[in-house]
Parts: sequence; C-alpha cells; structure tokens
Amino acid sequence: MDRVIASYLPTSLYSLMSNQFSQEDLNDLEEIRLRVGHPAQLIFTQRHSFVDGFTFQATDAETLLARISDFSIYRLEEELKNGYITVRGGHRIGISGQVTVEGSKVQAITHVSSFNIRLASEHRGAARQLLPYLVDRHVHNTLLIGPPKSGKTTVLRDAIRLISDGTDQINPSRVSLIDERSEIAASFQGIPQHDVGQMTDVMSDCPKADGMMMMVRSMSPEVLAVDEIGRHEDVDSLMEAVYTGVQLLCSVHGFSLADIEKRPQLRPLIEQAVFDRYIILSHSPKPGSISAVYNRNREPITTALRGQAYEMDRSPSHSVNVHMGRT
Amino acid sequence: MKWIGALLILLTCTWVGLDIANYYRKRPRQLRDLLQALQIMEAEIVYAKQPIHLIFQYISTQLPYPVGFIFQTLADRCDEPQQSLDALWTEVICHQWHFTAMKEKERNIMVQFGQSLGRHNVEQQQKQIQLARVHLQHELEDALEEDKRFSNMYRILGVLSGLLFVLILI
Repeated sequence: MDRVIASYLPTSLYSLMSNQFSQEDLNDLEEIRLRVGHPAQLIFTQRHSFVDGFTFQATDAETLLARISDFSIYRLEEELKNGYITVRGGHRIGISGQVTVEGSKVQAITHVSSFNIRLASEHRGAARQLLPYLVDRHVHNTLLIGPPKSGKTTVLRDAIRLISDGTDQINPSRVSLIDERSEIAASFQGIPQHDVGQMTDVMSDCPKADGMMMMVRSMSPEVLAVDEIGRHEDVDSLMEAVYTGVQLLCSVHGFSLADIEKRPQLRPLIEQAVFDRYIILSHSPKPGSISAVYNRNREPITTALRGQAYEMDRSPSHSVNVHMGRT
Repeated sequence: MKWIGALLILLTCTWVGLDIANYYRKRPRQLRDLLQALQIMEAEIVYAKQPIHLIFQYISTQLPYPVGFIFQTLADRCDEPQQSLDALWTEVICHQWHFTAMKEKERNIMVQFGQSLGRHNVEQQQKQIQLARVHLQHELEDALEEDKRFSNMYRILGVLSGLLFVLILI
C-alpha cells in the first residue's frame, strides 16, 4: 500500500490492516472507507471487508483531516467546498459531513464524518486494447461511456499517455488535458502525479468549458481530453472545440449508448454526430473491459469482449495490439 | 584579604541585580518578537496559504533566539508521526519557555492559541491570531511598564545591597 496513505491512517488501524490482510490483498485495495462510529471498511477489486477491532472515532476523524492538510485546515477551503481532497500520489479523499451554506451556496463541509480514501491506481496498458478503435491514422473523436468504477478514468489516463507518447503504430500527438476534478493527472501543486505522457499539457481544477477554450487558444493541441462531461456549458464548448480541428477524447457516466442518447444535455453531441467512436466500458470481468464499440452512426463495430484471459484471438487485424496481460 | 572579600561580595550583588534587571529588559523585546511571529504567521496563512510547518520554518529564520528557536523546534518536530499539532505545540512551548524571559501569562496565551492553530478556515484562523495578538499586546504594555519601573531599581538595588553587606561585614 502507498506510503503516503499509510502515514495518514491512524497507527492502530494500519497495524491491524497489516496483520489481518496479506500484502497482495493490500495491493489490490481500491478504497478505504472510514465512518465515525463504525469499523473501517476496505474495498478490494472483487470484494469488501471490515477491519476487526477498529472503530473510527470522532477524534480520529479530526486527526485524519489535520494530517491530510499538513495541520493546516485553512489550506483546504476550496477542497472542503468541493467535497474531495487530492493528496500527494494522486489519491483522492472524498469527504462528507455537515455542510454550512451561505446564500444557497455550499460554504464548507464542517464536522467531517465520512472519508472515502480512493487509492489511485495507474494501470499501464489499460487502454492498449482499445487503441485500435481510437486511432487510425489520426485520433478519432471518442466518447468513453461507463458506469462508476468501470475504470473510465484509468482507461482515459492510459489512452492519453499512449497517444501523447506514441506507440509502434501511432505517432505521438500533442494532448491538452482539462482535469477539472484532478482525477486523471492528479496534479499536486500543478504537477501531474500520474504519467500522462510527455506531450501532454494539463490544466488542473479548471472548469471544463473555460479550460477547453483556453487550451485551444494557447496550447495548440491536436487532441483535447476531458473527463466526465455532462453539463450544458461543457457540451457547448465541446461543440465549439470540435470545429476548431481538434480531436476530442471524453468520458461520461452511463451504462449504455441508449442512456447517453436519453440525456437531454448530451443530445446535441449525438445528433450532430460529433463522435466517431463510442466505447462502452464495463466493470466485469474486471474494470476497464470493453463491452462494445460503436461507430459514428451508432452502429456496433464489435460487441465482443476483448482482452480476457485465455481469449482466442481470431481477428486478422491488430493482433499486435491486443494485449492479453501477458508480458 | 579583607578587601578582596568585600570586592567579591560587591561584584556578586551587582551582578545579581543586573541579571534581574536584564530579565525585565528582555521581556518586552521577546514579546515584540512573539508579536512579530504572529504577524508573519497571519500573513502567511491569509495570503500565501502555506502549510504550517513551512510557516514555522520561515518564522524561525526571521526571528532571533529564543523565539526563533521555539519555532525552529516546532518546525523540526512537525513530521513526527501521529503527533497532533496542539499536543506538539503545548509540549514545545512549555518545554522551551524557561529559556525565555517571558512569564506564565504569555505562556498561557500561546498555549491557548495553539489549540486553535490549523483547525479552522482562513477567517477563523485570522481571528484567533488577532485575539492572541491583542492579549500579547496587553502583556507587552505591562512588560514595558515593569521594565521602566523595576530594571533600574534592581540595578541600583544590586549595587547598594552589595555595599550594605560589605559595610555590615567590615
């Protein structure tokens, strides 16, 4: 487990965790959930488990928050407003508790009672299997669709890295990433903590709509990557960006293409056929699996699940790209 | 032989008097340093939003001994694991206080202030700092008063008591 996170956790919890779980288990850890008055919950890729003999107390919550902020809560004003804190190493800590409101706007979360420590995982090669659908001479305008925890962010991050660094088949491109929630590059004081490629410029914590225009004007990107589109303004500036000759790479929450078609804010994007590829991700059998790929006219290109263990590769093309997890 | 003894007694008494007088002189100076430390802290928190250990580090380079030294110790011990800041603050302040010329009252103000440090948002933190500064300002006025009244008195008293002992013993 990551040393940064280990240093934040209460010592008693950390020693109990090391006793009760093996090192391999802890490497598989996705989330640590702490709620005041309840035992700590560990969420692994396939299962979840409680830590016996540890109850998270209100004082622990206070200490944890103090440690996260380096004993300087005053630095977290913006974060307490947004409900999450990005820490060194790109991990994301979601918080909830009592909210103070001023003028119908959330001022801050006080009395934080729940923490969700999401351990950032950088799966290199997560997007390799979908690269053939993404790139063919140039990068297609692509929309990644997936439910929460389906690995959208991980796949998007790896796709950005591959496009920006280039591979044997594709030439590197300049990528501009607007990382509104600091999830993709997980910038800490402006510097990406995850590898997003050598030709990637990151604008972190920036509203997508503004960020996209800023990037197009100032950084002359070839590919523009954004996470979790959905608001009206996002779609407007996406529409604008797409006609500036920039290729788009976006992700959005949803189970299927039908879900997306139904969302009123996203309708203009679908109707004007902005995207050349729709890639549906699912969390089974493992996060980041492709369940379907559609083309510009929303016709399926493939619905075969790829990249599974023991899968037989019968396709004539891209056999080099299909990465089966063997090295 | 008698004269050497008399001279020794006189010197010792003068020295004791000067030392006590010095203590009264140092107190306002150190209180001013402390006030300055809080002022730096306020600026760093409100405008620069630096993490607290960097602020300690910065203050320690700005201020002379012993106030600078207290902040140096705080900065050094900030990365100790599983130590809460208010416990660390109280421990360091109480431990280092006898190196300073300041009194119990100032110590209590500082300890009290430490309980709120790093626990609030910017506005609250600023208020806490200002509150501590107001209290310290009062102490500073007291200290200046006492300095004026007592430091000269003890200096003269030292010499005179020395003379008195000499005269009695001769």
